[in-house]
Amino acid sequence: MENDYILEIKDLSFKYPDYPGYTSPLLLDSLNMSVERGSVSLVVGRPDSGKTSLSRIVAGLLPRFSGGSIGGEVFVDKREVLHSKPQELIELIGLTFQNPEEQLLTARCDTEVAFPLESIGTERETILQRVEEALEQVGLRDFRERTPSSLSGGEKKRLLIAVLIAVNPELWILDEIFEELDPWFRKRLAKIIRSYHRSVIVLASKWMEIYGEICGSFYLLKGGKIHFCGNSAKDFKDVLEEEGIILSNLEKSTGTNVSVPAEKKRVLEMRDIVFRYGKDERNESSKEDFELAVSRFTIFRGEVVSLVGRNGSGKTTLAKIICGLLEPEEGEIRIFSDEGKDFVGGREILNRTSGYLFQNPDFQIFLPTIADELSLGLKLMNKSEEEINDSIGRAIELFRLPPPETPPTIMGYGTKRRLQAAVYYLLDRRIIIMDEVDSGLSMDELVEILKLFKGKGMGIILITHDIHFASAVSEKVFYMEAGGITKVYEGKSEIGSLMEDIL
Amino acid sequence: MKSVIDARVELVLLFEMILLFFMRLNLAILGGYFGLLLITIVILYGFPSIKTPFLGILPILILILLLTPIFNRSGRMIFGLGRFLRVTSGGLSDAIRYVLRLSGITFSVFLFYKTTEANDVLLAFQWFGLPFRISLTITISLQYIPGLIRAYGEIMDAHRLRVPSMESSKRRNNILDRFSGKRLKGMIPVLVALVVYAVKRIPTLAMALEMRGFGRGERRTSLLKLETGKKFLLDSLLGVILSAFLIIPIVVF
Amino acid sequence: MEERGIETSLAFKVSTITILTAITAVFTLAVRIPVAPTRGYINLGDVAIYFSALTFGPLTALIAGGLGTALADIIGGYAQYAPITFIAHGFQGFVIGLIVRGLLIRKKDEIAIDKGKRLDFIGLVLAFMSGTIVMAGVYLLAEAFMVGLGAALAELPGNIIQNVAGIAGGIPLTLAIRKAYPPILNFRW
Repeated sequence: MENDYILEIKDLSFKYPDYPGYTSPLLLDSLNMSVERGSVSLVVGRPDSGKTSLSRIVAGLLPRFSGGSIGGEVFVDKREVLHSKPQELIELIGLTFQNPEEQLLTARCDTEVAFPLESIGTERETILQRVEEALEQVGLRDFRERTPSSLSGGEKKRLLIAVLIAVNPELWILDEIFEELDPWFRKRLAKIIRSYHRSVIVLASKWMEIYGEICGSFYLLKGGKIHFCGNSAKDFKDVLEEEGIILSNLEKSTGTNVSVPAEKKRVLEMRDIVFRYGKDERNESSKEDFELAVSRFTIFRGEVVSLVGRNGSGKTTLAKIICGLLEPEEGEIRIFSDEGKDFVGGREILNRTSGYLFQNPDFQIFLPTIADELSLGLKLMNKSEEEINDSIGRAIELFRLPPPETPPTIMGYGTKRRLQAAVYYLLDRRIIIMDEVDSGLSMDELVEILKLFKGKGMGIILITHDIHFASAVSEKVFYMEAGGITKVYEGKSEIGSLMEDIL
Repeated sequence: MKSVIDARVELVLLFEMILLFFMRLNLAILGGYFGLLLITIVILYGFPSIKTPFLGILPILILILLLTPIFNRSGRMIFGLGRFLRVTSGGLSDAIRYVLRLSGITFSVFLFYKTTEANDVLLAFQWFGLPFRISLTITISLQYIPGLIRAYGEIMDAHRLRVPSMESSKRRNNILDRFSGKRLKGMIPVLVALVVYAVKRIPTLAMALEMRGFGRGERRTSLLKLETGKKFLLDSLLGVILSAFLIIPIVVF
Repeated sequence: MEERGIETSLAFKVSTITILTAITAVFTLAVRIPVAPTRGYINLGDVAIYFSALTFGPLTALIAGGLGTALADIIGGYAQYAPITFIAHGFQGFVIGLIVRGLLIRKKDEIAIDKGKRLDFIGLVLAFMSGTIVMAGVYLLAEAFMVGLGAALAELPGNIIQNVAGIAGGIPLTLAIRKAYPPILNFRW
């Protein structure tokens, strides 16, 4: 008897177009995959392994909107998609993007959900009813007239799920959907997935326990191929551990190989800092005044600290004060040289002391090639050409970057994050701030980068939502609430108790 | 917020108001209409509400009063200083006409803006025949603009952390520097990052649109609809009366 | 394996115009450079229009240039100027795009302004002059009706300076973007 497959991929190969000075690698290499109707599958792959591209090929969006070379066949519900138009497939395939902002179109939540139904000519009465039901399911019923851009990241993702529910296609592909969602909604989403009885493929770059509860088949995307890893979550976790995607013992991997300076030397110390935002200055969703007040905050050489806390607790504001992008109204920031001298850090000095890895690397990359990006700061430091070329070569090797003439804008997200790190590594900044580090980089890559920074004696500040990760790699964790540091956890045992405090 | 009067009716009325202020009517009549317009705004939104639009056009109003008399020297001389600075009755009435015209149009648009909702206006334009793809373009770009402005701020910040800041070059206060476009040149990397960030979203936006069924053959239906019931009839009636009131002077005088 | 290019479907065209509209509005609203005496600052809306026209041709520049600047007027509180702005900047973009496409780029993949040919140079100058004349001319004419010739003339130098900035910024920006983001050359149709 023939199996009832919702998705069949046969010998699929794909590469993005080449550009002058850059040959795109073969991203998918004779990939085969069959997914049974009604199953819930998990595909895990490292950042930039081709998960998103694969999902977009299946939806008919690539190479349609990228160009490139493609070979093989893809069938969804027995229908060939590589030569179909995506808009004709929307009752068959639904896809939620990893970055929800890229998928939202309209000025209101209800019109957003209604949009695809309007496109297929659904009667208005039916649209009203389905929009209502879909928004109810994701808990956004009271948000009908709100502007999607005013929602938080997690709420935007919930809105995407509402759109999916309203159309209810045969195959749901959810790209990194569980990231950014509140824990209670993760559970709700699991319930939604069970109750709609559709075929579901979840794409992820990291392991979450909830996948074990909802998924029945597990796949690893690696080297352009799909590897079926059976139906047991436990076995799959072993595979991921072997691959370095789950790190069994994070502390061990950061702590040991790095020599921590014997005596703790301060790099920066801030005292009695006060900073205020007026109404609406931060973003449209915060209608109240915001005040950040930190009585004391110190960073030592070669130390890894984390700032954790909810959205709007002041993590980013504090970080921007440290690197001199915001000027505090009160208080003092002192910088300590390696010889132990200290002086007041004005904004321009702070700008030169710290490096800041923005969450979105596109904001930080402005030059035509990798070599230009890496050498910009060095040229301004008047280094010789030889030194500069040496440094570029070293950085490319250490941070596993593509050849120096590659235009950074066409690289994958994870590669761009490594380039950001490499830039500040070469600039020898004494403090490095990494915003939302866990996005785009896998755990082992992150640990690798932290080691490089530590090796240079940089003080490292991580801003993250991932408390699990923060507690594993940091020597100190600052918990922030409503513009203040409310708790500091130091040392292994205290950081261990952090998990219990918060979760 | 819902539109006060049906957006279609308001759109027609706005068009008539603008037409009215462009007509070469008796200044007293124009002034009367302008007065009524201002009184309406003050009653609805209070006196302080007219401050912002007024300040916005104030510099141009001053320019009109100063410069218009130079181009019209007909009529009786009111006062003059030397050969060039002469104000005549013709020049003065021209100046007042332009002041009324600009203020009239500005406050008409202001009242329209205050009493309608953006969504309704787009729907009204669609009702009058604006293609869906154009109104969609407007809707989506309005969603993207705040995000791009934020991105611009972040890119400036990121730039400041990498290269010597623009502020320090300002301190040198070189006048030549300001004119020579060096400042513009220094901004190019920032602008490149901003534009690349934005144009990279062209293919993703196209994907999002097609994933939502844009470009299919079916006739689109719509969740939001402008009312067709009693309110629309009443509003239209009101619209006809107001139109008559606006058009009578054009016909009579 | 089969090689494929970008399919410039209706959705792709709408996306292109939407994004360029947003870019133009943001350049007009947020990207401002202080200059000495006249206005205090100039905005870079014209830079975005020159970029659109050079990269995407006349029709895209017409809609994106016109809509983008008109939306900026509406957001900035000068809605009464939006129709005039739409026509002035829309046709500015259209004329530049038309001349550049017509005179300089005969083949789709040719990048004319990278080469220092004389014809190209003359063509560019012609395009920019026409763009300036159209934009400043429409404003002058429309404002002469709205605020009188005197005040309209007073606005003229500002509009010309805007255009000069558009040219001075638009060409290097276009070239830099082609270099930094090569895929943009495939976005045209």
